[in-house]
Amino acid sequence: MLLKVISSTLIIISCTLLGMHMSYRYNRRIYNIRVLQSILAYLETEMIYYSTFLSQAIRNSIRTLSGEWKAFFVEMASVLEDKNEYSLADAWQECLKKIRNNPYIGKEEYEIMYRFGLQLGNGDRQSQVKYFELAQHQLKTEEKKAQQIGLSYGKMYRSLGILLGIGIAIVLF
Amino acid sequence: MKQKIANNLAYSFQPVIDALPSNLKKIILSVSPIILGELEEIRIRQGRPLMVYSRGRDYFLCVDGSVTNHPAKGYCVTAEDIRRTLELISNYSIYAFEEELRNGYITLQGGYRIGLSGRAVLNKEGITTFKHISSFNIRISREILNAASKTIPYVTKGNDVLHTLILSPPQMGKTTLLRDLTRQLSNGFTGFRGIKIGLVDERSEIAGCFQGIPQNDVGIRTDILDGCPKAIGMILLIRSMSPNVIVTDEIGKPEDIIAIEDALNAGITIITTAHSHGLEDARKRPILKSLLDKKVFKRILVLGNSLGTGTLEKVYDGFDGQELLDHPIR
Repeated sequence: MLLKVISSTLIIISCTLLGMHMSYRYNRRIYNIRVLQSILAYLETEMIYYSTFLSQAIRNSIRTLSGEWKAFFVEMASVLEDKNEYSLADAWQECLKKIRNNPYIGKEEYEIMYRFGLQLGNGDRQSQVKYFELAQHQLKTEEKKAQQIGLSYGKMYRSLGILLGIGIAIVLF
Repeated sequence: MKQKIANNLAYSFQPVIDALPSNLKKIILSVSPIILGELEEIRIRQGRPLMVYSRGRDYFLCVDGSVTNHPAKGYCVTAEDIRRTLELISNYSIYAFEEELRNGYITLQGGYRIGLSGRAVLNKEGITTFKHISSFNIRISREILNAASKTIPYVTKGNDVLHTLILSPPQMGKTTLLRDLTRQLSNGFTGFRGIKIGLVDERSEIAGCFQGIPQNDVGIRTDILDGCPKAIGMILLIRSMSPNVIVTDEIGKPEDIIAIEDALNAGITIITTAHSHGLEDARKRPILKSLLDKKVFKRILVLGNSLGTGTLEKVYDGFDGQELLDHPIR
C-alpha cells in the first residue's frame, strides 16, 4: 500500500513537472522575443547614432542580456571579426541555422531574423532604420501572438500534466 | 621564397591585404616582390582586368600573380569580387561610412585610402551616396619620416614658422611632405622648440585617422580635426585649440580664402598645399591668384620629380617672388 502511495505520488509529481516544462517553453519563447527586441533596439542605437562597426555594435548590444539569441549574436560577431570567406548574409544564415531547432525559439521570429539579416549593414542609415522598424514591428506582433498562445497552451499543459499524473495514478491504484 | 618575400612586403600594408577577398589577396601576394615593394595603387574594376600601379607604370595581373601586357590575359574582376571588397573595406558596415561614401572614399586602418566610383545618388544638396559601385582604387600610402628635413630651413626662421604654400602636381609627394613637416614642427628639432599645430584633415590623408586615432605620426603637439571641411575646420581650431600653426591640404574654394584670412587675423601661421605645376600655373587660377596677389604666403615651395618623386624644385619668397633655391633638392 505504502509503495503504491509513494509510486503514485512520484508519478503525479513527474507528470506535473512534465506539464510545467511544456508550459515553460511558451514562457521562455516570450522572454526570448523580448530579449531579441532589446538587442535590436541597442543594435540600432549603436549602428545609427554611434556609427559603430557591426561586429562591435553586436558585442555592445548583447553585453547585459541573456537568452538563446545571445549565443547567436556572439557567434555572429566572432564570424565578422574573423573576416573569413563568408559574406554578411551567408554568415547570418549559417549562424541562424545553428539555432533553428532550439525549442525556445519560434519559427516566426526565426524567419523575421532571417529576412532582417539579408539587409543588415548593407545600406545607409536611413534604410537601416527602416529595416529595424520593420523587424521590431513584426516581433511585437509575434510577441502578442506568443503571449496568447502561452496563456492558453501554457495553462493547458500545466493542467494536463497534473491530470495525466492523477489519471495514471488512479489506473495503477 | 618569393612568396615569403611577398608576404613580408605585404605585411607593411596588412590592412589593405585584409580588405581584399581571398582570391584577390592570393593574386596580390603572388606578385613579384620588385613590383610589390614599390606598389602605389591596386585598381579593381568590375569586368576589367585587375591592375596594380608600381614603379611609374601599371601592370595587368594574371590569376597566378604574374604580370602581362595583354588585358585579356589578366584576371577579370567579377561582381562578387566587388561586393566582397566593399563588405570587407567597410567592415560589413556601409552605414558607418555614409559621409566618406558621399566624398567617394573610405579610409582603412593604417590611413590607407580607398577611392570608389559607381553611380552617384543625388538630392538637392548634392551627392547622398553611391550605388552600383563598380571600381576601387586602393592607394598604398607610405609614411616617409624625415621627408621634410631639407625643406624645414625654408619654412622656419628661428623659432617662427613662415606662412607656406606647397604647389605640386598630383602624386609628387605633396601630402607626404606636409605630413612630415607637421610632425617635425610639432615635435621640434635641434634649434627649434615644438609648437602647437592644428591639422584640418578633410580627407583623412595626412594623419590617416581611423576611428579618431591618427595612424600616421603627425607629432605630439598636433590636434587633428578629421573629416572636417577645411574652411569650417580652420575657424573651429582658431576658436577652440589655440594653435600656433594651422596645417591643411589642397585649398581651392572661395571659403578657404576667408578661413585663411581669419587665421591670419588671429595671428596664426598657415601651411597649406594646392594642385599646381608651378607658380605661373597657380597664378592662372582665380582662388590661388587672389592669395598670391595679397602676398599672404612668405614661402612658396614647388614640388616635382626631376630627381624623383618629392623633389623640391623651387622655393620662392612670397613677397618679392625671388627664387631661394639654386638647384632642385631631394
